Amino acid sequence: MSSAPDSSALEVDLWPKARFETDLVTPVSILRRQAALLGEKTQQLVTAYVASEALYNEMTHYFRLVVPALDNYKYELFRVTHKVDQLYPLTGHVQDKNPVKITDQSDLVGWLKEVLSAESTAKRIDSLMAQAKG
Amino acid sequence: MPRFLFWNLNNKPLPHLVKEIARGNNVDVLVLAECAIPVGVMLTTLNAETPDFQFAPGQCERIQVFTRFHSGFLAPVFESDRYSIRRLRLPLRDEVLIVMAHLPSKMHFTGESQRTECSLLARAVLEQEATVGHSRTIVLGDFNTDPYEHGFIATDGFHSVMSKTVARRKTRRVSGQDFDLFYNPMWSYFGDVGNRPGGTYYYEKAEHVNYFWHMFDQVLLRPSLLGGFSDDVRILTMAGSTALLDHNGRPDKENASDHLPIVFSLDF
Repeated sequence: MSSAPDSSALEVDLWPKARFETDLVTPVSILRRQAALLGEKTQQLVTAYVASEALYNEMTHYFRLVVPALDNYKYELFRVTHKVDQLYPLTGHVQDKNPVKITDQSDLVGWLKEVLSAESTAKRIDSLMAQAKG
Repeated sequence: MPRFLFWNLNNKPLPHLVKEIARGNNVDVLVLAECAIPVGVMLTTLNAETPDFQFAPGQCERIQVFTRFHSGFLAPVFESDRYSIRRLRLPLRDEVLIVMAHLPSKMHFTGESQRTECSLLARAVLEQEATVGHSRTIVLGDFNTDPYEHGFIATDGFHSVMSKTVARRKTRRVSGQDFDLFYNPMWSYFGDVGNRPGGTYYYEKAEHVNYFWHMFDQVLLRPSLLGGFSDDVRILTMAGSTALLDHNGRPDKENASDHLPIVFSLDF
């Protein structure tokens, strides 16, 4: 025997009482911050931006250099990927090195510092700046 | 009609063979992968008789480009360590995009990772086509992937087909979304009918499934370029009088490269 319809089910809030975390520092925001810093170090001759897209259940964030004076020439310096539904671990892909597993935020900051301060990165930016100056 | 050549040199010092091929086939755009030959040596060898070739520099160290056009006509617009996308802007011709790539080897990447690499590059191509406002695009290189693998077939990869008739549809609708097509002429070069090599790369291993010949070196064309394409793709087996195959009919790794060069013509 079925029970009578009970409209009280429409009035309850089933979500947990705890607040959802909205102030997480995401990997992409850390990348964007570093991208934003490049222009002021190069007299805006070489800038950077981060492009993101979902591919095969993964988010991919590309860190790209841009040279406005060279018809907006772009060079992809590195990329990181993580599952769509979790921010860590990340996988860092830079040039021909083996992909690197990045477990948390401090790991990401350390890895980024290594990539951005690498001799090969400095040489590439120098070369692009020289070409931008004509 | 402009002629294009791609060859993976396997880091071998082969400037004279490159010259023989480039000169003997009237190549206008010469794209080399795994090229350890210093630019100066390559230029002096290519230009020993007449100073036709220029180096067209880029930031992708895996790809070296030499051209008989002014190098400024072949400016890179989007690059990574794996690919160089360039605009070829010749006087009195429509602009074309040329995507030159060397994707990771099966020695280091799984099939799934190779598929992802193809998808990433295919997306970069779409992005650049949107930026320049046309899709007159040529893709060529060593992809370490065969034409029948997912990275070349799937809609989220290069979405390339073996038939010009199919490619001329330009797009294909799947699950309500349109996907741009490429034509892949390399399908027609599998097997050794006509005394030609079975592919561009040979790999033999004592395992149950083995294809022996692979077509890792490929050229793809967007349908908008097919009007200027007259099936003129060749896998080269000679560099002047020097054979690029050994006595077993496989790429001569000792005296040449483990890959065979491909050359094609395209009017645009």
